[in-house]
Amino acid sequence: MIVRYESWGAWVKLESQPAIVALDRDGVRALGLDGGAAWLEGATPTAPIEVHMAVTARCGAGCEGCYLDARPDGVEPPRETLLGELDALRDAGVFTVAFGGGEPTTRDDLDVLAEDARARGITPVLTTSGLGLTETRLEKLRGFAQVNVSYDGASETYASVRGFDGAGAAERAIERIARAGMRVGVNVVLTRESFPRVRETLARARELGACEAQLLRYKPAGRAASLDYLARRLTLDQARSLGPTLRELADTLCSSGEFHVRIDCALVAFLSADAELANDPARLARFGVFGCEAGGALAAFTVDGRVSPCSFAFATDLRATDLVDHAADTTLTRWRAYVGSPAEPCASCSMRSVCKGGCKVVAAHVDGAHGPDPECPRVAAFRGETRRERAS
Amino acid sequence: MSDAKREPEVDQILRVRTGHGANCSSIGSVIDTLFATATVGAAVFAAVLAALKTEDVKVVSPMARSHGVQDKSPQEKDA
Repeated sequence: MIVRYESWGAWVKLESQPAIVALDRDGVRALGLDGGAAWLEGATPTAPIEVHMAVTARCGAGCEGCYLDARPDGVEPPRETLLGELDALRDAGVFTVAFGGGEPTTRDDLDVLAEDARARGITPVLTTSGLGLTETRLEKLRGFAQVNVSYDGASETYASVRGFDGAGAAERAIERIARAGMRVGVNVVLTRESFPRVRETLARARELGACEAQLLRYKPAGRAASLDYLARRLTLDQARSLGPTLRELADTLCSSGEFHVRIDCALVAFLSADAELANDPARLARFGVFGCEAGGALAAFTVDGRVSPCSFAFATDLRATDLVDHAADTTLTRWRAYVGSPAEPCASCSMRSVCKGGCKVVAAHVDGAHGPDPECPRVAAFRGETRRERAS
Repeated sequence: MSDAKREPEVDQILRVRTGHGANCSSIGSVIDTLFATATVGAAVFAAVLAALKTEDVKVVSPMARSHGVQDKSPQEKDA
């Protein structure tokens, strides 16, 4: 296992099972270790534990909502550049790197890059559309701990999210990766069109050999940062129903323990509408649920080698190769500081310590401000009450 | 570091994040274990505890470059 000291104890990446564990100081001492300088008052914030690295901006899929605005002629950094970035991840003590783009499988050196990451003690994972997955490209995926295929549902559902029907190619990719003996999951973007079919989408993915599905909130970045976003995002009723929907998915698809459902950081805010979950944030925290960790446990490297709080946020001035200096970056510091003292209604929310204020990218797009997530059911209710009070 | 000292307790585990999470755009968290029975939840923590007691330990030093510390701190050694 790999231990990284934090002010409160340590993050521990296990190697016998895919898990990252937070131990308090007593737990670290019980391992016979001591945090030293990291446990002194005033120690600098530590680096992310997970970084999303855009290894190319090249992609021929043309998804309508691509957050990177990837194109067939997109830039592709040379391996030497990415090696420098992997060195920076190692120096910062990052545990996991998720390769994306762009379509990462278009890189000829993908297998070597996976080895490069592992040689630095970093677990590499990858997201692909599955389009154009030749045998040669498939074999280059073996070095990754897990590969996720973008799969939003069967034909019409897939097309409603991405603007073309790539479901067949995605399904074949899931099946082939699983048959090749690799861990494969799916990324499912939730829009108001795909949400009603999420159960059948996940059931199909499981049937094809996926071990996991990650549900993703549709976010207004790249080509999705348009007025069209408002027509695609989940409705308030759908957001409110996320908790019960997850319960049903867990009951019907996960009981054997061989298939898991994940939600992304931006969906955590929607759990505020679920009384059982909202009243037990300690349970959410204990089972490792992360809300907005942008600039905290999470960061992203843009394709031009800059650090951003997350893949959807604008890049900072900090070069990816200087990640160890993240604590001095004013933008990352501002993102972290907001989480510590958010505006109402987040300030009084029971889930604040887990949710961390919801998606700031959505807030910036919809409200034009770095503030509470306007699509969170609790925030929507708070604003409705405020408007009614002002009107009366 | 002596293996005899390795006796972490379940209450000292603050968080467990299971799975690899291979999405490249937003960080994800396994959610179905939240709805599983107490037995399943306890099994997750028991498995983690067992690993903490048996796996070799390596400490990484995130501040090494910016603070001019040598690559291997006194703690940075395989158990």
